[in-house]
Parts: sequence; structure tokens; C-alpha cells
Amino acid sequence: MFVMVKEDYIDPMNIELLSAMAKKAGHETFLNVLEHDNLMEEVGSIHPEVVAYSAKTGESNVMYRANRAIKAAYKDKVFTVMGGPHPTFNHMRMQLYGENLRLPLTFSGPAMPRVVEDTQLDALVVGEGDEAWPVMLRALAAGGSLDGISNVVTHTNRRADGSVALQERNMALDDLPYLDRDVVYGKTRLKEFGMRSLMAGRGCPFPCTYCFNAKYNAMYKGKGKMLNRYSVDRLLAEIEDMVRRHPTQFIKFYDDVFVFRTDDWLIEFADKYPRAIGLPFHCLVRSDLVRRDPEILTYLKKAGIKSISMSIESGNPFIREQIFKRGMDAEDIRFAFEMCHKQDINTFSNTILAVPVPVIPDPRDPEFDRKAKDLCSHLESYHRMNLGALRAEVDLSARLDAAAGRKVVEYLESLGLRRRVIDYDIESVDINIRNGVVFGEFPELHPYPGTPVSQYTIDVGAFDGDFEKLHQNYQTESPFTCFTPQEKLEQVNLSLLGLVLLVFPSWRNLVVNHLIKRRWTKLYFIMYYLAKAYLIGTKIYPMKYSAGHIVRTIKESFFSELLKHSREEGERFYMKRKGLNAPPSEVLGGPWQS
Amino acid sequence: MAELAGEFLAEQLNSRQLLALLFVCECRRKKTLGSLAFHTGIKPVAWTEFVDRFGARLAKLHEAERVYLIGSHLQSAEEIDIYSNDEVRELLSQHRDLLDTLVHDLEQDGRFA
Repeated sequence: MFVMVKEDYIDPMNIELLSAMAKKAGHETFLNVLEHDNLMEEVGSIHPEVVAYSAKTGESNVMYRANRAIKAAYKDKVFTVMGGPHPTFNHMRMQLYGENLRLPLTFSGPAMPRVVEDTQLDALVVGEGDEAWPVMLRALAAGGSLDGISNVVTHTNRRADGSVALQERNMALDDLPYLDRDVVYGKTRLKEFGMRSLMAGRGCPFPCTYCFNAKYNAMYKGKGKMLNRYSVDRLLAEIEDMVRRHPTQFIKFYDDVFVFRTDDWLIEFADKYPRAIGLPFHCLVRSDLVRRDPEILTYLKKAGIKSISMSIESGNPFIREQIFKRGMDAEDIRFAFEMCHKQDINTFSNTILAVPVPVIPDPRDPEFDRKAKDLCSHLESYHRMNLGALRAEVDLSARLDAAAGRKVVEYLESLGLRRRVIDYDIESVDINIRNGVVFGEFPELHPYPGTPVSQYTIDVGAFDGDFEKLHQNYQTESPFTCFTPQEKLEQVNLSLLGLVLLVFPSWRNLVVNHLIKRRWTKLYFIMYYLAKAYLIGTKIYPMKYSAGHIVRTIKESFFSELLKHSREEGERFYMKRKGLNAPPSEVLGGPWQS
Repeated sequence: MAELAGEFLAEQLNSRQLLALLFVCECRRKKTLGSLAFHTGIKPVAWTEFVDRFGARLAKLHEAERVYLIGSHLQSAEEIDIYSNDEVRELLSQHRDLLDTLVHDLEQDGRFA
């Protein structure tokens, strides 16, 4: 039995693949969705031999609670296992059933919490589970040991240094079974939804600091090719099968980067997809890759692309380069979005707000001299920036007079630093408006364990490293202590109104000068929801709906969005739960709200 | 064995060497390697455009970050497995003269100092 926290409009491809592999090996599979199913009743009636979770950080806490309830009731009668990003990067502090785990182990790495998580799981799967999962099921069926299976951590094979024996990356994706969508569609609204998600390949080599890929790639260094794809024929065969069995209007390719260049694969895809499938689709690419190879868009257009995601992440060059390490400049972004407009491809971009960044001190501040020098020192020592050009003009060891102060301010501005916290976020919204982004999300930065940007937020004193208190969603108030309550209010408001500005760009000055300062967040949420529903429904994932479906979708998506933006999600979410008997402080994502 | 011991050839290259290698791979993919001529004294337009494009991207990054970013492009857009020493060694030896010329040119360029 697979357990997921709640349903979304994106297929849970992890569960669908694992279920397909289990079925291929002759097992029966089930799904429990904690959001609306009674877990303990279903475990009691189905009697699963194995309960499996795939967890991201944040939702892992919810799954632990579910698992502890199962293990308390069934002990050794049910074997429980967790894979996914959370155990991949946190296995060394996840205490298993019957284990007395002591920290610190001798592992190293950025921003890893030093607390033990009491999971009560029997095993963890680290990295790709393609090989491990069927081998594990076979061993469990035969009553054998799991200790020798690569990628699997048990309390008897755990290594003191935190390392795990990993299989090579799976480079033969064509051998994988088709995703088992039935196990999910039987229990969720996805069955009725016309958009189906899938991936054409795996892997991303870029070092964006908010993402786990850099660390994941380091884990797998020398263990096979980083980028692996299905052959075009295999991919299209699965889509054809999917379309035949499930009503489908739109395809979303969910690869981190769908194509990196114009190659034989893309040319073949552009040739065959329209004839074999012919449905509009959406995929993700990077602006810098489009600028390097604009023909990418020509072939995607030929294939029938309707909309495309190209994340901007920040309009501010300092954040984009020094903090997020995006490796692309404003010209890459401008060029790529302009090319999309010329090709009539609707654009979707993510841009992260509320990033802890130093601000340029006010020259009227009596402490300007010290603050400006501290900032320069921080840029040189922490970010390893070369301020030689400034030092050639200004003696930073002497007291700064008015002229020198002006030069310092101008120089810091040229690096992308700004005078107010909100200026960075306004700049980010502006770049979306300027480039004519059709649909944009503006989430606030939330740190995840092991990512370099989390370490950065700890290093600059904005975050205490307690990941347990993170909210499951990242569209609520910023978790960083460096922002004042008023700044947090403006960030939340701008994260909602940013999208509205993409529909009504002429409201820009009204929004950034006045509206974001007001405590009218609920009103802004309604405006955000309407703009999102309009743009998603007509521009990004356009599909035909029956009247009944429209009403149901609006109702469900409205409350889904409301929960995403609510700090109280944890409490309300768990009011529906039966049988878990959690203490009141143990809410979704930990005791963050208390 | 070198790979198992963590001694990857690509990790011994600096950002200028990797950038030159990226250019060679891009030209090879676009089948324009044969038309590159450095001996005339005038730099090929493809090279100057390439350097300008990456110069802007790399200018604010320090060496380790430059190496990582260029490695990302080699692995993705050029489909080079930079952790396969055989593959990297073959590329380096195949294009040694051109790479030497390109690296020398980059060493004269302040943006890549």
C-alpha cells in the first residue's frame, strides 16, 4: 500500500512507477490518500504486507505520524519503507523501527539538522529505487534479508559514516514499465482531470542552490550518465497507451529540463509526436539553453507545444548569480521570452521572493561608514567577489567622506544590491512584466535540508537551521528572522499580486507603492485566484470542461489554493484525520505555528 | 580505477580549459569545426560570440562555480559524460592544438582571469 499526503493536479509519478514495478513482479497494490482516506481503517481492511511512502521534506513529518500509528498497531506484521528526496538526503538521522540511532554520525555536508527523526520505518531507500524496489519486494516475500541490497538502509546495515552503497544510475529507462495510473486514478480526482503528467527522462546538471540536484549529482558522481531519456518511440508508446485508457486533453512533461539542445531526439520527437499523439503539451526548459540554441523552440513548436516553463527565479542579478547560482543573465532571459512570444508559445515562470539579501546602508545613517565596510567585507569574504575596482577608487580603510560614500553606494548598486528588502522583490516582479511573462508564480524562499541556499540562510543568520518547523507549502509567510513583520506582509502581498500584475501591468505603481503595504491579503488572494484560474485555464493548460466539472474544479482548486496560502493548514488539515491521535502540537510540518 | 578513486580527469581542468572544450564540442555538434581558422590572425566570429556570451555569465562567479556551470553545459547541451575519463581524454587528445589556441586566447582575456 502506498501512502501519499494529499492529491494535486500533477500525477504522483513516483508512486505510479513503483506500483507498476510491483504489479509487474506479481504483487497487488493500493493507495491511501491521507487527505481524505482513513488510513487505519484501510490498513485494517486491506492488511498490506508493505506500506511505502515517497517523501519530500515537510510532508515527511506527516508521513512519520501515519507510520508511527501503523507500527504502533501492527508492529512487525506490516513492513514500512520510505524513499524519495527526504530520506535520500536525511537518511543518516532517520531512526528506524527498533533502532537506537545516535548522532552525530560522521557525515558532512551543508545545512544538515543534528536531530534524530523518530520514523519507526523498517527501511529507507536512498537515490533511485528502480533496482532496489523489486529486489526488496522479492526478498520480503521470501523472508530474506535486505541488508545486501544497494540503495537500501536498514538498522542492521547502516554505516557509521552515513554512506550508502548505490547502484549506478538507471540508464535504460525504456526497460521500465508504463506508469500505473490506475492505482492513483481509482482514488483521486486526477481520473477526471484532462491533463496527464509524465517525464521524458531524468537528470539535471545545473547547480541551482535551492535545488537538490547538485547534491544528488555529487552522490552519483562516476555512477553513470547524468542525463537519461526514454527513446522517442518508447515515450510515445506509453503516451498512446495512456490516452487510450484515460481521457486526456493535455500533456505536461515534468522533466526539470525537457530538452537541452536540438539533437536527434528532439528532431525525432517533433516529427513523430504530432502524428502519434497530437495533443497540446507543456514542458520546462532554461532560458540560457534557448539562447544558445534557439532552434529548440522551433522544434517544440513543430511538435505542438502550447506553453513553456522557463524559471527566472530572480530579477535581481545579485540574487540570481551570487545566491541562486543560476548561470544566466538578463539577456538570456529577455532573448528566450522574446523568442517564445514570436513563436506564439505561452510562457510560465517561477520567481522566488523573500530571499535574505544584504541591503545598501542609508548614507544618512550615522553608522553608514561601518555598515558599508562590513557589507564590502561580507561580499569579499563570503561571496568571494572581487571588489578590486571599488578599492582602486576608494580607500576602504579610511573614513568614507560624502563623495567616497556615494561611490560605494553606486558600486554596490552596480553589483545588484538594493536599498530596501522589498526592492529586490519588486525588481523580480518587474522582470516578469518587462518580458511579457504570461503566467508567473512568486513563491517565497523556503530552505530545504542539504541545499546550498539553506546553508547560506543559516550562515547569514536568517534561519536557525530547524527544518522541523518548516511549513509544507512555500506560499506562506517567510520563515526567515531577518525580515520585519511589515516586510513579511509586503512579501506575501507581492507574491499574490505579482501574478495579477501580469494580467494588468499598468497597475504596477499602484501595487508596489500602495497595495502591498495594506493588510488586504485576503482580497489579494481572491484576485490571485481569479488571475490564476483565468491564465492557467486559458493560456497555460487550456482544456475543455463540462459545466459540472468547472464548478467542481473551481471549488476544489479554490480550497486547495487557500490551504497553500494558509499558515493554519496544519491544524485544519488534521481536524479531518481519524485514528492518528497526534498530540495537538504536532502539526503539519512540526510545531511551526505554535 | 582512477574513477573509482575519485580522480576524474575533468576535475583537473580549470574553467578556461573547460570553456575551450565546451566550444569545441559545440562546434563539433554544429559541424563547424572544419571552418574555424585561427591562423589568419582574425578570431572566428563564432568564437568571439561564444566568449562574449559566456563572459557575461561567468564574470561574477568564482573559479569553482565557473567549473561547475561549464561542466553542466558539457553534460547537458553537449552530452559529454565528464566523469568518464576515457571520453574526456579522447576529446582532449583529438583537439589538442585547437584547445591550446583557445585556452591561450582566454588567458589573455581579463574576463576569465
